Amino acid sequence: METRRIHALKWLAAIATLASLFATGCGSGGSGGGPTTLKVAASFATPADKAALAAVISDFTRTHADIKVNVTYTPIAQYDQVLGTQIAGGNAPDLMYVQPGAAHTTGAIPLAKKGALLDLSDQSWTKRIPASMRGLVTEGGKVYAWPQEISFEGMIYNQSVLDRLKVAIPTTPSEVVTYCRKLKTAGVTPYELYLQDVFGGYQLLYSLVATTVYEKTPDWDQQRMTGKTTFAATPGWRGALQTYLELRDADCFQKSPNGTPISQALAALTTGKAGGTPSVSVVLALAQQANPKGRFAMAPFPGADAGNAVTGGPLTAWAVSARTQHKAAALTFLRYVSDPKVNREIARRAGNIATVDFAALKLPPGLARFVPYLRRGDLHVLPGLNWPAGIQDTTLGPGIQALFSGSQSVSGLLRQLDNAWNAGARR
Amino acid sequence: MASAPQPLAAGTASRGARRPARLRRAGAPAASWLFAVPAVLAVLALHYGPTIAGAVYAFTDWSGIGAAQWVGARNFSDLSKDPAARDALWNSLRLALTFVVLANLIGLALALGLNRTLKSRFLLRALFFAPVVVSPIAIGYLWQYILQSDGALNTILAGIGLGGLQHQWLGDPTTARWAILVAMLWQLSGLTMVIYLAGLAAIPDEYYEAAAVDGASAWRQFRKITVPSVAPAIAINTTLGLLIGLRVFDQVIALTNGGPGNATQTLATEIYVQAFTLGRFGYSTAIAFVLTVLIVVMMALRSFLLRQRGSV
Amino acid sequence: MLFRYRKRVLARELLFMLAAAIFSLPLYLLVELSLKSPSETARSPLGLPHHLDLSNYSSAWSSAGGGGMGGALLTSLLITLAAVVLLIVFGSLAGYAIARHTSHLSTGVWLLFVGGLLLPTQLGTIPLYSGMRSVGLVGTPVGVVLVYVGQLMPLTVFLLTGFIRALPRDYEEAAHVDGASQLRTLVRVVLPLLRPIVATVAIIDGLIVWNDFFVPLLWLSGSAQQTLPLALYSFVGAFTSQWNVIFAGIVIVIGPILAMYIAAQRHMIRGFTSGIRG
Repeated sequence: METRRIHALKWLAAIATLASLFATGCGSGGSGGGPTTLKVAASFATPADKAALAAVISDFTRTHADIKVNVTYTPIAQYDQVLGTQIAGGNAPDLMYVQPGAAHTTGAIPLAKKGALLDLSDQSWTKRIPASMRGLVTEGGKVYAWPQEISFEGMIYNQSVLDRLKVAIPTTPSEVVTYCRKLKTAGVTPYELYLQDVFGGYQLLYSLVATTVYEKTPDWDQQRMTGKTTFAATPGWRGALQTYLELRDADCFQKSPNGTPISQALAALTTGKAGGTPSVSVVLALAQQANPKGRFAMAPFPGADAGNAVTGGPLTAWAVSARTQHKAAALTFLRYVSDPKVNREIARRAGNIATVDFAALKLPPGLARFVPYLRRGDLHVLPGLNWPAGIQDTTLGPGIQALFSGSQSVSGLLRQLDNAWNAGARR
Repeated sequence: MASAPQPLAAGTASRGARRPARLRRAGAPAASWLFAVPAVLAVLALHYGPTIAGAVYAFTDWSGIGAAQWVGARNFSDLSKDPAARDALWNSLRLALTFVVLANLIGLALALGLNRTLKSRFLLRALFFAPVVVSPIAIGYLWQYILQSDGALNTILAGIGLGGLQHQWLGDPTTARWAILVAMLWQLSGLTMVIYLAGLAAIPDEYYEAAAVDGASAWRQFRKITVPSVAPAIAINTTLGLLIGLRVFDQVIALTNGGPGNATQTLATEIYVQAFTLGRFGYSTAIAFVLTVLIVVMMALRSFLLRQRGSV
Repeated sequence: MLFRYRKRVLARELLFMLAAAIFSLPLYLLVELSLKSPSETARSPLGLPHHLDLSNYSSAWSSAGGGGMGGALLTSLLITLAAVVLLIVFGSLAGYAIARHTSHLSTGVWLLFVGGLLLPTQLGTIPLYSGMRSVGLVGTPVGVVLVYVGQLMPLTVFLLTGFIRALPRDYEEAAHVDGASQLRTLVRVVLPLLRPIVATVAIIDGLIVWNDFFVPLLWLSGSAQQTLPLALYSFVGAFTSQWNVIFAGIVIVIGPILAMYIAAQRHMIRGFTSGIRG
C-alpha cells in the first residue's frame, strides 16, 4: 500500500537521522600511523588552573607536531572518583595529575603501590625535585611523579584594611591577640574562617602545628606511621587545637564559622569585611584577581613566640600510567612541563610557586615573608600529605566542625584521629 | 458515562477486568512475549549483571584499584561496629521518613487546594512544579547560597527586622538536617502534587454534590470519596518518596557535604566517601548492601501499611 | 450563599497565591541574580535588576570548556532524545506484554523490573564501565545512552505497565476482530490512547537524563564531549563561586526543559487522568 511504504520510509529516515547524529558523536577515531594522541586527565580547583594548563598544552602541541593532546578537566571534588573508575575500568589516561603523598586514593603513593604508575626514576628532571618533597613522590625507592607546584600554608591579609586601621601583621601570639582586639573594635572580622567547606577547618591548624609539632619533631608523620607516637600522646596537637579554641574565645573569628563556605570568606576578605583568612598560597592570587585595586599579603601564622616554622608542599604532580601505549610521547610531555621555563609559566598563571623556583628559594613578592623560613630550613611538609587516604577530609575537617559546634572535645577529636589512622593504616 | 471512578491503578491488577466468559474467549490474544525481550535483555545486561558483579566486592577488601582479596563477611562485621555507619543509617531513615510524610502532606494539600475552582490554578500549579525540572545539584547550590551565613535568608531576616532569628543554618547540625529536608521538599512537592491532582481529577463533581445533598460533612466526604480515589496516587507517591528519600545524594553533597561534623551523612553519601575518599571500595559495597536491604524493608512495610488501609 | 462562597474561594485563591509567591522566591533569586553583576549584587542582593545584564549568560556560555555550552547543549539533546526514545519504545513493548498476561511468568518479569528499581546503581558502575570499555563504548554518547537505558528501564516499565493494565481491553479486542496484529494494535490503538501518559513518562525519563551529572562525568571523561550539567560545573571552582555566572548557567540548563514542560503542562496533568475515565 502506498501509505504503508511512505510510513516505512518515514521510519527509515528517522533511524538514519539518529544514526548519523551518533556517527558524528562517536568519539574514538582510528589512530593508524598518524600523530600520537595523548590522553591527559587533570583536576582543577580554580578556572586559572585550567587556563594555565591549557596554555601550556597549546604551546606544547605547537612545538611538537607529531603529538596531539586530548585533556579532560575534572573538578577536584570528583577527581578521585573519575580517575579511580578509569583506572579500575582499564581506561587509565596516559598522563594524569596526582596529588603527591598518600592523602588521596588517587595520590602518587597509593597509585604507585598498586602498580598503576610508570617508574620515572631514570628521567633527568628528577634532579629538580627538592629533597624535602622527594618522599611524596617516591615509593620503594623509585620516583613516580613530577611535583609541579608548591604551596604554603599561612594567613592571607587584606593589607589595605590593615594599613587603614594602622595594624601590623602579627608575628607572635600576643600580637595576634592585639590584632584581634583592634580589628574587632573597628568592626572588621579579624580572621574569617570557612568551616562549611570540609578543608577549611585544618588550614589554620596546619599553620599552628608547624611550630607546635613539626618544629620539635620533623619526622612526626613517619613516627606516627610506625606507631611510635599518637595524636593523643602529642602535646603539640592538643595544644594547637586548644589554641584554635582560645582564638575563638578571644573573638578572633566571625560569629558563624561553621556556616561559612570559602567563597563567602574570600568575598569578606576582598571587600574588606575581614582582615585575614587562613589558606594556602594559591588563594593569594585569587584574592588579588577578585580585587585588583586592593593589596593583599600572605604571612605565616605564629604558633609560638619564637622559633616558628611553616608548612607547605606540592599539591599537584604529573604521573604516567603504567599501562600507557604511548610511553615515548608521555615522557616527552613530562620533559616539557618540567623544563624550568614552562614550569614557571604554569605556576605563574595558576598563582602557585614553581617547583624549580622553590628549590632556588625564588618566591613571588607576595610570599617574601616566607623566604627566611625556607633559608633556615623551617619548612615542613604539609601535614596530611603523608597520612592514610581521606583522613583529613573525613575525620579532621568534620572533627573541627564538630569542635566548633560543641559536639566534640579536643580529647575526643584526638582519639578519633588516632582511630581513623589505625583503621586507614591497615589497608 | 459517570462510571465508577477508575483513577490511577499503577501497580495493581486492573479492576474492571471481569468479563463474561463468552467475551473473554473471543478477546484479543495476550501480547507475544517477544515484545518484552529487548527491555528484559537491557535490564539484565546493563543493570542486574554489573550490579551482581559489583556486589561480589562486598566480600573483598578491594580499594578500588589493583588486586582484591577475599575477606568473607569481615566487612559486614566491621560495619555492625562502625558508629559512623550507624549514624548514617539513622540519618537516612529519619530523612526518608520525614520526607515521605511531608512531601505527601504538602503535595496533597496543594492538590486539594488547586484542584478546581481557583482561577489561577494552572499558573499556580506550574509555579509549584517548576523546581522539579531543576537538577538536584543546582538545587543544592541555590539553597547553599540562600542558607550560608551571609546568604539570602539571613539578609532578608535582617532586612525585615528579624535579625535576632539569624542563624548559621548550615553550620548547626540540627538546622543543617532540616535544610536538606527543606531543599528536597521544595524541589519535589510539586511532583507529588501533580500525581495527586491526577487522582483527584478522576472524581466527578456529581459525587460530592450528591454527598452534600445527602448531608455528609466535608470530613466525611473527604474520607469516603476523596481518599479512596487518591489511594493509587498515595501508592505511587510513597514509593517514589521512599526511593528518593533513601537515596538522596546530590543535595546533601552540595549543601553540607555530610557535615557539619558528619551530622548529615546518609548511607548514600557514606557509600561514596568510603569508596572514593577513603579507598575502601569493598566496605562501601557492603554499605550499599545494607542500603538495598533497607529499601526493600521500607517498601515492604509501605505495602503492608497501605494494604491495611484498603489500597495497594 | 453565593456571596459567601465567592468570598471563601477568593480567600483560598489569595492564600495559595501568597504561598506560591513565597515558594517561588528561590527561583526568583535564581533568575534575578543571573541578571546582575557581582557589584550590583553586593549593593542590592534581593531587588530587581536595574537593567538586564546578560554578560553572565555570555560568560557562562563561553567559559565551559570542550566545545562550550553550545556543544554541550547538542550532546545533551542527542543523548536525552536517544535514551528517551529507546526507553519508551522498548518499555512500552515490555509493559504491553506484562500487562496483557496474567501468568506466573508475567508476575516474574514484573518483579524483575520492580527489583531493578530497588537495586542501587553504584554497585554496578565499575563492572559496567569495564565491560563497556572492552567493546569501545566508553567515551562515546552511545555508551552513555546505553547506561541510561539500563538504569531507567525499570522505572519506565513500572510506570507504563500500570497504566496499560488499567486500560479497558475493549479497544484492543475491537482491533483484533478487525484483524490487526499485536504490534499494530499496540502502536495504533493502545499508545495513542495513552499518549499523555507516554508523554509524562517520557518527560520524567527525559528530566532525569538531562540533569544527570555523574554518568556523563564518568563515561564522557576523556572524550571531547560533555553534557550541559558537566559544562555547568566545569566553571564552579573549589574556592570561589561566582554565583551570578553559575545561576546564569543553571538557567541555561533549565531553559529547554522548562520550555518543554510549559508546553506539555496541560498534557501532563491531563495525562495521568485521561485514558482511564470510563
